[in-house]
Amino acid sequence: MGLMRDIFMTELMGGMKLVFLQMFKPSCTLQYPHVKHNVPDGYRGLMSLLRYEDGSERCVGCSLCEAACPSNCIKVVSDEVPGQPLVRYAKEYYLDITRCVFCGFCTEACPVDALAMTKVYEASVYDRRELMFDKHKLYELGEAHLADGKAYLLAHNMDDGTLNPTEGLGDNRYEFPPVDLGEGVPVPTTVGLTREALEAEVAKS
Amino acid sequence: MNTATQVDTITVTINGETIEVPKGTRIIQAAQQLGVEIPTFCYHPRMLPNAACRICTVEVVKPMNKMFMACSTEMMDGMEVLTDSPRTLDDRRTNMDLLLTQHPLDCPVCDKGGECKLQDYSVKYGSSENPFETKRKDFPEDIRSTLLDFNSNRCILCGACIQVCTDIQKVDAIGFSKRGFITVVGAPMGEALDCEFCGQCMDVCPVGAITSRYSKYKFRPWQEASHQTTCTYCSCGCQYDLRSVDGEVSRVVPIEGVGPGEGSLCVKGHFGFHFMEDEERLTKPLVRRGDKLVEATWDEALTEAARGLMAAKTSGGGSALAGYVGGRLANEDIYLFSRLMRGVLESTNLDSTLRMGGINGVTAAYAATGQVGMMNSFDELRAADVTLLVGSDLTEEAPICGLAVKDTITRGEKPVLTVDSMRTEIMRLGSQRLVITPGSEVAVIKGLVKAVVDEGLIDEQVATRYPEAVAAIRDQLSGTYKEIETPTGLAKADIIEMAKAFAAGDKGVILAGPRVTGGLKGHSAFAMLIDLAFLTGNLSGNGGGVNALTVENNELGLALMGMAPELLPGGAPWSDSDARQQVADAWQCELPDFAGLPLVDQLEAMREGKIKAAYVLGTDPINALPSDMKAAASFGALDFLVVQELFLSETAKCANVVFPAQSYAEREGTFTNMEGRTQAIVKAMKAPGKARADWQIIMELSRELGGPLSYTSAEEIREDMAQLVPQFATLDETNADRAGGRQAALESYLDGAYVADMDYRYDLPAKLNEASSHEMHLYVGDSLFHSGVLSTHNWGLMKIDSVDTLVMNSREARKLKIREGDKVRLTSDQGSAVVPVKMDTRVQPGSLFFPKHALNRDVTNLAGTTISSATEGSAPLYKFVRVTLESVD
Repeated sequence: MGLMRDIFMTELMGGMKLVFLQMFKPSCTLQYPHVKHNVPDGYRGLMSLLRYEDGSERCVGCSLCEAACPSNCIKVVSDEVPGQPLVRYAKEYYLDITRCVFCGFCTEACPVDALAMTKVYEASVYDRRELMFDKHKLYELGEAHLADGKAYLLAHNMDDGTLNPTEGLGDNRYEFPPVDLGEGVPVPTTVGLTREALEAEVAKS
Repeated sequence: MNTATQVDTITVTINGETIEVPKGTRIIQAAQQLGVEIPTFCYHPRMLPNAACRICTVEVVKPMNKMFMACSTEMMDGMEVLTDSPRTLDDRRTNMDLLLTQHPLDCPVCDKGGECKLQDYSVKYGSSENPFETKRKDFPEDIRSTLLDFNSNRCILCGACIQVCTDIQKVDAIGFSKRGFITVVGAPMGEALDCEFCGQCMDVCPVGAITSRYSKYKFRPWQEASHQTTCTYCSCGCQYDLRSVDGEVSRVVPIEGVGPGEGSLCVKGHFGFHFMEDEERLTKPLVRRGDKLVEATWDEALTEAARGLMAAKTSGGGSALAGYVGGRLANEDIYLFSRLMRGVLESTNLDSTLRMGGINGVTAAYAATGQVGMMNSFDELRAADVTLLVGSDLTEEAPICGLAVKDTITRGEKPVLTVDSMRTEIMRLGSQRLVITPGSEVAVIKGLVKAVVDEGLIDEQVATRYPEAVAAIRDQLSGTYKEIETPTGLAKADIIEMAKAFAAGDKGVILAGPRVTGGLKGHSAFAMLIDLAFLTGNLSGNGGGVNALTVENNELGLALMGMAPELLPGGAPWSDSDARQQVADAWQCELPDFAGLPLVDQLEAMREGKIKAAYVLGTDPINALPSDMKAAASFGALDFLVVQELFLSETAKCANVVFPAQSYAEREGTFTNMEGRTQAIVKAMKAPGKARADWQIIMELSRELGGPLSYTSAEEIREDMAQLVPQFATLDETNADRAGGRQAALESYLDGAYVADMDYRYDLPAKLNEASSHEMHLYVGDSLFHSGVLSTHNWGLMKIDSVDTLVMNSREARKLKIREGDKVRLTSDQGSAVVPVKMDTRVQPGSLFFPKHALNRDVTNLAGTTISSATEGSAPLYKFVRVTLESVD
């Protein structure tokens, strides 16, 4: 038997069978960065700070996120709002993304749903200092990705019902939406450029 | 510490462990000895049990089976207690549920969050579901007070704050108001709180119901770095925990049971932590170029200073130089300064703020007893049978020492006798009082000694054992009471009654304040008090004694380091050539053999051009002294002036070189408090700019001058100091053997010290009876909220008390139709000043009080300074002023 198997290379044919079968199945390789993942709502991307509907800051500067953070990348400086006695806020808020491990403990610790993670995962920059987010940058992110933030809190059961009033409360924790490959998004002109070329591009715009 | 000779002990069992405890021990105390933790909100080791919070419930199995409150139940012999039995835990859970029914869920914004007992216990003993339901409280937070915010929603009504205010602080500023569900804690009648602001209510609050406005929302307990250090304001030398977040001071927290205050703090220590961060702090050395002081490098400034001081020394020798130092410097700085001036620059014109009166307490005590500093520790003050307080408003001048005296009233119900020209708080609380004409302390003291001698109140043992000494004192007291009654305004009977009350007590403690040592004949007055203690048997080691209170935090350090022309390190007089040789040997140098000039003569010598250069450290004589002492003209006449300061003071503005120094929170060192405890200060924050520690600056200047001083740390300097003055060898100890010290004091006293200047001691100064055309007595003294000029750089304390206000008697003001805030003009022989007025019953009619820290110097300048004689410490006396008051429209 062994001889026959050697002569006819049955193992090889078995292997090749798999290969040929795969040739006729649709491709599941994502052409990143030409095509991007449609990430689930519970995705833990870059951190953001959220505001209330009326534009006021949600964060009360309680520093619980700082206490919960396992990599010590959060720094909160709290104070009384000038001219408004007894109103507590974060005078300064720093988040060092280079040290963040994206565990999301901070969002769970937040008593006022001020922290939410966005779906932004492309965080690479040329200058590390840009990754030291301050309060201004975090609120900017929160404004730009408000829908993501709301969806995140809903997916992790942290919404108290005020952020997504239409959704209601439920156990959404492990419901991940399917990956949508889509048509692909146009490749940004900056992809693949050398640093010098990129800087020239930036300078031009 | 009251240790009865025979204490009955009982044997008790807690959680199966048996322990022997003294009778009367409560369950919670016995459990603490065994290291068993019993939860409690309202119990406090220094207060009587309140049993309000009900969380300390424990199960007693024997002799009866019942639930008891651990904080208030005294144990019986053979008692068996279980502190974590199922029944106990069940009861505690119910109590927690009840407490949490109304407690708001605002932990994230509550300043107590992270160190809250309610949080901790609800995790440990509470349940996750609360069966009780009620409407949560919704009181608006009371933020009307300058400093303390009351959030009644968070309050669990344990009453600890009220108890500390009533029993320890004895102020009664807060209490419960309303009843039932709407009970709240606050100032009476719903008024805004306006009290001493000691902040002790905030410290004992187990939840976040009382919080500080000055630290509001600025910290989380886990973010803070903790530094145990010594307070830099008054001479009590309290220990506290200076907390900082990222190098910025967030708050001050007392440490229970540690230091002289045992965990109590006053408003200055507790809330006066802002001066270090003041923007006016000096950050770089300044050097004079023409009319202006310009910033320079350390090298430039040190070279310039060395050149200037050396030039004066070469032209006129050591006597052409003078040094003046304040009592807020650390011992290490004072020691190095003394070595620099005496050893390197060979000058003996070395004086300090001791000159303002403190020196009399030092020299009189040393002459009679051979010792320096208080005879009793604060613990002994608490245990005194009778306290005689002369010429001091303890509450304002040394609040924590005041708490020790208040403690004898609260806990022991012991008599406290007060003699003062102001109706002080302790006077109101005490049992007997003599309100005297301002400045006549010395006469009352003589009256008291006379009454003891005349009325046969002399201690029997003293009378039989030392008849010679008693006779010598008796000889001096042959006069009538008339000479005492006239200047003091007292009746003979009152003086005798007080003398009787003092002699009746077993352990009698005498406390003499700055109005005794800094008054007319301060040296003699203090010596008379020593006689009084001797006659009443309180010098013979029964636990009593005589104590001079000091003002600045390290005044005793100045005395121990010999920072006056007549003193040597250790407190010995400069004239003692053996002691001088000892110092010279230790420093390996020759000490100049001429005695230096005291401050007043120094100022004159400056104006005459005999003193050409001076070095002033940590004090501001131009600002502090009244203008008729011509300090500005004197320092202005100098060829060269070096000033070392935290701020650009008036004196610094005249300087040729200004060195920026580090504050107590930015460096290492030690302070010696009035008890004689040497305690450490630690580096808690970064110094501003290029400021350096005082000892470093002195050392580097010495190096520039070719001196031998070379140290790498403050610790190293202290080791050197300890060889010369043994008190500096150990830290945090109250000179352990006080009883032995008092025995030595008695021996030294009997060894001829008592007769030394006896003929002169009991002569009352003629100035006492001096008539004046100005009918009001103005006293310029210390205020509770401030200490020196340092605290006026504190926005926090300035917000509470802006210091520029004259205090007058309320009834008298009403009679003169003066209202609070009105302006009045004070006129003395020296000029006049216009100041706003506030009312207080503390000041008696005919008297006025003005804080000496005031930024408005006009009032201080009203004084016509008298200089007391050399035997009385050459002290400039300017605190009592005769003035005329008129209202200004």
